[in-house]
Amino acid sequence: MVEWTDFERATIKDIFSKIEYDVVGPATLARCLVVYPWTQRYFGNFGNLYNAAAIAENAMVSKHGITILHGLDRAVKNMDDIKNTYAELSLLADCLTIVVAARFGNGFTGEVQAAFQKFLAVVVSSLGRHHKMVEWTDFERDTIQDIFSRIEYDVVGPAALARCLVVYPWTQRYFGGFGNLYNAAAIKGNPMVSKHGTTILHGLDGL
Amino acid sequence: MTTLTAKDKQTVKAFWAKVSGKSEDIGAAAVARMLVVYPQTKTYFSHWQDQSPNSPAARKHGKTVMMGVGDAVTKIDDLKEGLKELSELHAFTLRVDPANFKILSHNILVVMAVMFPTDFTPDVHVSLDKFLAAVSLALAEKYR
Repeated sequence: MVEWTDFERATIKDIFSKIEYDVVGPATLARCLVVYPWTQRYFGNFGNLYNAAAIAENAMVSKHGITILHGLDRAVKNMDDIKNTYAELSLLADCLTIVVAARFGNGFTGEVQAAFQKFLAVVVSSLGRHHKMVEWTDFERDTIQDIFSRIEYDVVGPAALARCLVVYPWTQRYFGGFGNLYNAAAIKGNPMVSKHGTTILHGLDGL
Repeated sequence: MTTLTAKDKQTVKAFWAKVSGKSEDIGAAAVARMLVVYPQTKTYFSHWQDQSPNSPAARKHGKTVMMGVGDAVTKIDDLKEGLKELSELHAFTLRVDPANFKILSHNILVVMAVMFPTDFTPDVHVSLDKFLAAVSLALAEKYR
């Protein structure tokens, strides 16, 4: 539990209310890719990152920068409950497990399930606090690489997010701007859900 | 937790009718998965000679669990009353920490996804998740 002073609370809310997300987000990510060029390894499919100018103009970098910054919105709104806010991600992790299980069938053995759930648990936990060093067995490494090399991102991502929104409907509160989420069919057909599902899955790539 | 709506009950019954023929396999797979993915649950089975996930004892236990689930489906309109004796068994004799009900429920859902990928739609998933949560609650009723 972190204690926040009134000044700190006010300051955080003030900053986030004043920044233009679509300027600050892209600028931040672009700066990171320039100042710490090894971070470019996480964005192999982003196209031209050859120099600062290219990075600054790269549409995928801009888009992702905005996404990341919005990812902090929840924490800003819930400063006393940052841990629990990101705990909702464990619901998404459960749904992703279910979707991957459905696709892999019997290939998704207990051992594979254990490795996959450990991976997602570490991701969720790392988002909530400082990253810890985790030990991985060769089997776990190979399994994670194998799973992610075989899933079709633009099928699994949307399916996992859609399932999460149906099975745990309270998670829809995070997607007020997404339009029609009225029932399972609407959620499944919702292009913003699909797009965001794919984005999330790609977010696991770099890990 | 929450009440099961009429739609939930209908969905659970319809899905169960489809899959109950394989209930032994489902149970065996769910218990096996639980023992592998959540090894701390093995503590409840220290009396088994063979604690491996696919041992005859584990399979038998899976069958027992799914028979209980199938029974719960028939008592879906009053789980608290219907599962009273099972609750007493779990509370006083087995003394399983109710936190483990959630773990086994999760693994049952994973097995449903593996074995019935097309039928285990999100709508079925949500109703079954609610149902297993309601069963878990009914099983914990007599604990304290």
